[in-house]
Amino acid sequence: MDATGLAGLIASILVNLVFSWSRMLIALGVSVLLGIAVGIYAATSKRAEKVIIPIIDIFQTLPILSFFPFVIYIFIALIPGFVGIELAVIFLITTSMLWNIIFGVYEALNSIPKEYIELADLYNLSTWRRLKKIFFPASLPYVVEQSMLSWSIGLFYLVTSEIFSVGTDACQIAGNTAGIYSVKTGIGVALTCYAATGNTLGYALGIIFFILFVIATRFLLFRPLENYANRYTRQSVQRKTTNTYLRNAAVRLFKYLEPPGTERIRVRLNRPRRQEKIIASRSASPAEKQESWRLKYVLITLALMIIAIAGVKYLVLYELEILRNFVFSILRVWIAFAVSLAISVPLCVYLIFFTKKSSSYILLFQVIASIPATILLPAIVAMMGKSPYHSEIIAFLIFIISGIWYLIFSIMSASKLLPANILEVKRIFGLKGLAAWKKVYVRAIVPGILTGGVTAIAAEWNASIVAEYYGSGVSGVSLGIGKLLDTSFASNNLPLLFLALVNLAAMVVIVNSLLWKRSYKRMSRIYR
Amino acid sequence: MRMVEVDDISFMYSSAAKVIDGVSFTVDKGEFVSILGPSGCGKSTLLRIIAGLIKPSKGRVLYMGNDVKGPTKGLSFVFQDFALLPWLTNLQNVELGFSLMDITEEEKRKRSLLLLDKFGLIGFEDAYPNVLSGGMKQRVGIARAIASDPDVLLMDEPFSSLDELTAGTLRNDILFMLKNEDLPVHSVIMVTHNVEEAIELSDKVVILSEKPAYVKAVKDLRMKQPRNKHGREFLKNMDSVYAVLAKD
Repeated sequence: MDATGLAGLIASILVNLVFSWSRMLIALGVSVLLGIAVGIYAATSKRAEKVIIPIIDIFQTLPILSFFPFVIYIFIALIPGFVGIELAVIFLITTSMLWNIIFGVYEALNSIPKEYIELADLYNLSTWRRLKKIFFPASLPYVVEQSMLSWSIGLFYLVTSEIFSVGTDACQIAGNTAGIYSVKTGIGVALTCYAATGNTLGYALGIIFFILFVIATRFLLFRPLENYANRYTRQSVQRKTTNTYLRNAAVRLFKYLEPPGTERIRVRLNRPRRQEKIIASRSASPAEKQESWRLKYVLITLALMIIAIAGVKYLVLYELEILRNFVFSILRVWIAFAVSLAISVPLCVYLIFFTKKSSSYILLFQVIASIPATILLPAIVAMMGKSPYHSEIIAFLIFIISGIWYLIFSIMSASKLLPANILEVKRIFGLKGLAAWKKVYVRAIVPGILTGGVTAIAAEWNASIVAEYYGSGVSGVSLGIGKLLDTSFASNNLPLLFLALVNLAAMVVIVNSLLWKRSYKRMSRIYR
Repeated sequence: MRMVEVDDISFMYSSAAKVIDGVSFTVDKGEFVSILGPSGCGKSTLLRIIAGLIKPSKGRVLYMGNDVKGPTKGLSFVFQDFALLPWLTNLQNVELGFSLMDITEEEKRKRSLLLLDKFGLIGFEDAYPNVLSGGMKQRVGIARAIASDPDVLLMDEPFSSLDELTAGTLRNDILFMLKNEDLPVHSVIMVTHNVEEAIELSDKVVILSEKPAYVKAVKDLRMKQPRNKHGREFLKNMDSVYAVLAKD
C-alpha cells in the first residue's frame, strides 16, 4: 500500500472514531445532566426516592443490551430513517451510562456529613443555595468517577450496537453499504467491515487508534475533570476506585432483594459509615417499610411486564421454545463463569499474595479491559474459521471476555479490605502448601468472588445477544436466548422478542435472589 | 541463659533514609523486655526483624545462639490489630498455632480448646472473630501465639487497640499467665509507646529515639510484681524514663 492509501485509511479510521466518540460524548452529557438531576431529586425527596431507586435497581440488573433490537424497533417506528437509528444508538449508550451516575450522586448526597446539613439548617439556606453550596460540590467527584466507569461500559455498548446495527454481510461490497437498521459511520462499523473484507491492516490500525483514543480520553478529558472535582476533597481520603461501584451495585442489589422485615445486609465498604439520610431523615420511616416498598416495586414492575405481553396466547405459543433456547444459554453462561473463576482465582491470589507489582498489573488489565470484547470479535472469528463447533467456541470466548474483568477487578478491590498482616500470620505459624490455600488464599477472596460474580454473570448475559448472534452471516450457534432475540428481531416477531426479554429479566432476578443473595448473606455474617 | 541477642540491627527502605540505626540489646531467659519509643520510630519494624518477618539491612538477630533467617519455631508473635483470620472460627484460629506441629487434627482441637478455656473463651469456640470484643479477640490472638509453643513471645503493641479498662485486665492476665509454670513462654519482648505499661510489666526497658531509631538507654527495673502504679519507686522510674525520652 502506498503512502496516500495509508493516509486515506488512517483518515477514514479517524473519521469513524470521531463519529463514535461524538455519540459517546452526547450520551455522556445527557447521562451526567440527567444523573445529577435525578440523583439529587432521589436523595432529597422521600417520595421520589421510593419510586426512582427500585426502578433503577431493576434496570441495572437487567441485561439492557438485549433490549437493543427492541429499542431500534421502536425508534425506527417513531422516527424513520437515519435520525431514528442514530438516536437509538445514542439512547442505548445512555442507558448503559446513566444508572451508576444517578447512584453515584444519590450515594454522595447520602454520605454528606450530617453536620453540613445541620449547618445549612442553622443558617437557613435556601434550596438553591443548598444545591449550589453543598449538594453539587459534594456530588461532583462521584459524578466524574462514575463517568469514567460509564465511559468504559458505554464503549462496549457503542461498539456492540454499531456492529449489531450494521450486520456482518453489509460490507461485502466495498465500503459501508449498510442495511436500513444501521448507523453508517462509526469505529464498530469500520472494524466489522475491515474484518469482513479481509483488510487486516485496517483492522489492526483501527484497534490501535481505538486504544489511543481510550487512553487520550482518560488523560485529556477525565484527568482534568478529576482534578477539578477533587479539589475540595482532602488528600488523605482515598478516592474510591471505579471497582467500588461494582461492589456498591452488588450491595444495593442485595439490599433490595432482601425480604421485608429482615435485617439489612450491611457491608463495610472502604468508605466512611453512611450518614443518616440527609433530608429524608426528618420524616424517617422504619426500615421494614422501606424494604416492603422495594419488594413491591419489583413485583409491580415484573407484573406490568407480563401483562404487557398481550396475553396468554403468545405464552402458550412461544414459552417452550424460549425455555429450550434458554437451557443452552444458561449452560454457556455458567460454564464460561466457571472457567473465568478457574482463571481469576489463581491469578488474583498471585496478584494479592505473591507479587509486589500488582498495581502495575492492574493498570495493564484496566487498559486491556477497556477494549470492548466485541471489538475483538472479528479477529476471533477470523482465527476460528467457519466450522459450526467454532461458533460455539466463539460464543464461549465472548462470554468469558465480557465477564472475567468484573471478577478480577472486584476480587482485587475487595482485597483492600482484607485484615492486615494476613501474610505475616501465615509465615509466623508456618502455613504452607494446601493448608495455606485452604485456610488463607481462597477464603480471603470469597467476598470479591461473590460481589464480582453477580456483575460478571450480568455482563455475560448482556453479551449473550452478541455472543450468540455473531455470525448469522458466518455460523452462529443454533440455539440460545441471544440467538432467539436476534432471529425474532430479524423476522419482526415482536411478541416473541418481548417474551424472551421478560424471561431473561425474570431469570436474572430469580438467580440473584436465590443464589447470590443467599451466599452473600452467609458471607456477610462471617466476614464482618 | 541468653534467649535473644539483637546485634547492631539497622534497617532502611530501598530509597529512604535509615529507619533503624544500629540497635543492640539482649533478652535473657525469664526476662520481660519492653521496646519503648515514640510512635512511628520503627519499633514494630524492629520487632518484625526479630521475628524474622523482615530482613534487616545490617546486623543480625540470634535466637538461642543461632541466626534468625526467617520465621522461627520458638519465636511467636502477637499482633497489634489481632490479625485473626475472619473466615476461621475462633477455635480454628487458635489451631493455626499448631500448624507446624506433627500432631493429629483431633489433638490440635483438644489442645486449642484447652487454651481457649484458659483464656475464658469457652462458648465462643465455634463463633467467628467478628462477634468478639477487642479484648476477647486479643485473647484469641495470644492463645494462638502460645499454641505454637514459643520460648519467646513477641508482642507488637498488644494493648493499644483496646480501651484502657480492657487493656488493664489483659495486662494482669498476662502477668499471671507468665508466672504459670506449665506455659511454654520463658521470655517476652513487647513493643509499646505507653511508658506506664512498659514500667508496669517489664524487667528491662529499651528506650529508642525518634527517626532513625537508636538505643537511647536501657533501663533495668528491679521491682517486685505486682507493681503499685502509685508507689514512689514506680513514679521515680516513670520520671526517669520520660527524662530519657525528652532528651535530644
